[in-house]
Amino acid sequence: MSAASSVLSAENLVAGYKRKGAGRSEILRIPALTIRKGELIGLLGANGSGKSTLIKTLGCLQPPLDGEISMGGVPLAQLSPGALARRLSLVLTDRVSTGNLSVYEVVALGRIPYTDWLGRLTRDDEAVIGHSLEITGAGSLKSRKLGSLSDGERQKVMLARALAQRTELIILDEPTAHLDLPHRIGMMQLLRRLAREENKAVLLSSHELELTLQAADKLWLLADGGLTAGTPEDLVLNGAFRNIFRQEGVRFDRMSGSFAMDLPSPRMQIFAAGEAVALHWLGKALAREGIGLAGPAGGDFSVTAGTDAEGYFFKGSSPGGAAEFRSVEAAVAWLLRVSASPGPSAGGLGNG
Amino acid sequence: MGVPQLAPARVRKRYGNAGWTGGLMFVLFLACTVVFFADVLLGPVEVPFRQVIRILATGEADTPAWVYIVEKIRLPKAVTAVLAGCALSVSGLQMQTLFRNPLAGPAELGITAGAGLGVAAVMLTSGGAVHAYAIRQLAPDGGWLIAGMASLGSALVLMVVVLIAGRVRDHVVMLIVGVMIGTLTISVISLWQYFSRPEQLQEFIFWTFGSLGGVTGTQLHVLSAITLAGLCVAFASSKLLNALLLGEHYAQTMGISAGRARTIILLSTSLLTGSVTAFCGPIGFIGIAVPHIVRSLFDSADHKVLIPGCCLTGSLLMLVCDLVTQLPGSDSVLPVNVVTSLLGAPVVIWVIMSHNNLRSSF
Repeated sequence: MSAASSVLSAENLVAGYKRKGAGRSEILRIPALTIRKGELIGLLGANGSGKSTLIKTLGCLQPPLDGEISMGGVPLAQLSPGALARRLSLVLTDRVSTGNLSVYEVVALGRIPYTDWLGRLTRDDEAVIGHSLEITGAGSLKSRKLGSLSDGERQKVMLARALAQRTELIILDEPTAHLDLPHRIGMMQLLRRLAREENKAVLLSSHELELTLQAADKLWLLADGGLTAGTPEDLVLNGAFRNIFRQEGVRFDRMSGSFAMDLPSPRMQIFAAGEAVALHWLGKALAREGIGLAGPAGGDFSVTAGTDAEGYFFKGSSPGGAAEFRSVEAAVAWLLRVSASPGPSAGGLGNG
Repeated sequence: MGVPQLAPARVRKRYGNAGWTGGLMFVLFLACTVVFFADVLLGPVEVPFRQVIRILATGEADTPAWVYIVEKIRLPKAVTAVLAGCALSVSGLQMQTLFRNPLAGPAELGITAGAGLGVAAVMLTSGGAVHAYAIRQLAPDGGWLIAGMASLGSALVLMVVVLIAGRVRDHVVMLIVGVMIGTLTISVISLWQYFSRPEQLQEFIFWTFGSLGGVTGTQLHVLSAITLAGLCVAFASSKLLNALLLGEHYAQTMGISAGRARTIILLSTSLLTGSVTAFCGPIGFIGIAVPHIVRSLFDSADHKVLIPGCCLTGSLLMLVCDLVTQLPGSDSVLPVNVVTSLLGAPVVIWVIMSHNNLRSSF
């Protein structure tokens, strides 16, 4: 991509807080960063890694301690507040407490950088508001009061308000926090669409690793006061992902791009074959008990999974005998019992 | 993708309840007019209805005393009631929005006490009772001095409150701090009173009771001018106030500097509270109550609606209070401060109970 499509760039950025007196606490030191048009960037990092600080610094809610941020070649510090609001809009985590504002009024507030001294809306303003409501799917909420909305609806409205500012860059701080999974996915899809169809640059911070990994064109990973940028796939492959969330008891699965609980390594293996979905879930249950599923060259114990008219079934066999089960729970219980006491005592099981 | 043609040929509806808003404004205006005339008509001395109309129209009547009563006492008092109602309720509205606090109001956050400090500074430092009396009643420029000092006192206290509000987010804590600042200011005034001569005190204590009467001539001009200026600033700042509804951070992202907004609101509130308190004494309750009533009535948070709404409702309430102070059939006049609370408190409780949307507004 050419430098011309760059929306925002920063050089030698130092972000943090000024302390009272002369001191200052640096949180982030970033040599260079760029946001381009049509790009959805996910900002990830552990708690306390400086996500909010970076969002606030780029969004001009707090000044950088050092370095320069510029949009379209103009340093942000030289832009008037109004001009800035026409280039950059934000969706914050601040809880908006004014409940008796209607959704339309909230979105109309996004036109503040454009309206006259009284804030009167022109027909163009109304068209932009209508478009913002429509594209975020908040059109049907238009006359509802903000206080009566669910968290998901509210977040859509706040995004519509940012859209009404008609900026080339939208920065969102934790837009999927407080939302349930379907709404989280919906929000991410919406942001992707904005980036693609409206050619907006979107930067969002998130805790939502898997979803961000799927949706983002680029990731910014924050750790140890620095930023690692790249496509999600490269960051998974080069291990940057694993390093950043390195923590006791947490395991990063490179295949699925997700984090999981670190389970004990299996103390024994059993032979397994048969229907793949049933085996997958049996394997998960057995992993909790420290039993791994092995290929055809397995040990004394074996399980075969399959389906029939009544659903899934598991057939187990051990040196002491064989049995058939209808649930994962029963199969696991049996395997645990026979594996704990091999030999003659297992002979009591349903033999041949 | 272009902007689709969503706007209808004629944009009639603003926010869906434009008709309700307009109708309500009209009803309130009518009610204000009626009560205004009732306030001029009624009083301890009976002036016939036809005579009052004649005085208002031509400035003449059968008895010169009636002309004097209507033109020099009742009319100025009714106008003062309207000005005080507008000023106090609009400054209350501004404070509630600025601090995002339903309990904010000029009296509650000590702003009225600050104005009192300004008044005390003029009254208690002047040469003596005669001089103080002269300032209040006679001197052509005394009105400006006392109003200016009261506004300055208001601004001083308001600045302290704004500074503290930056650190305190909790509504109740903020209120307690406001009450403390008010108490502190009143203590300073008390201390000042303690070291003053009795002649100086008399006038000041009379002032603290609060009265809509006695604001005549130049003083009424001064009060009108300052109140009008304050209201203009308030109305011009309605865009800022609307932006602040989403909180200071959001306001900032929309190009509204919180510092500038605070300064403008501070200026307007100080002028409004200061001037009214200077001439009418401390009047409680209107400032905190009216904005809640207006928000409930209009079911809106838009300051372009709320500010005119506050002016009309505040005026109406003040006029009614003034009618009640002079208890028809009785010669005694109650202090207006008592009546505003007596009448206002049940109104607010009723509004909160029946609409139950005070919480949703903050």
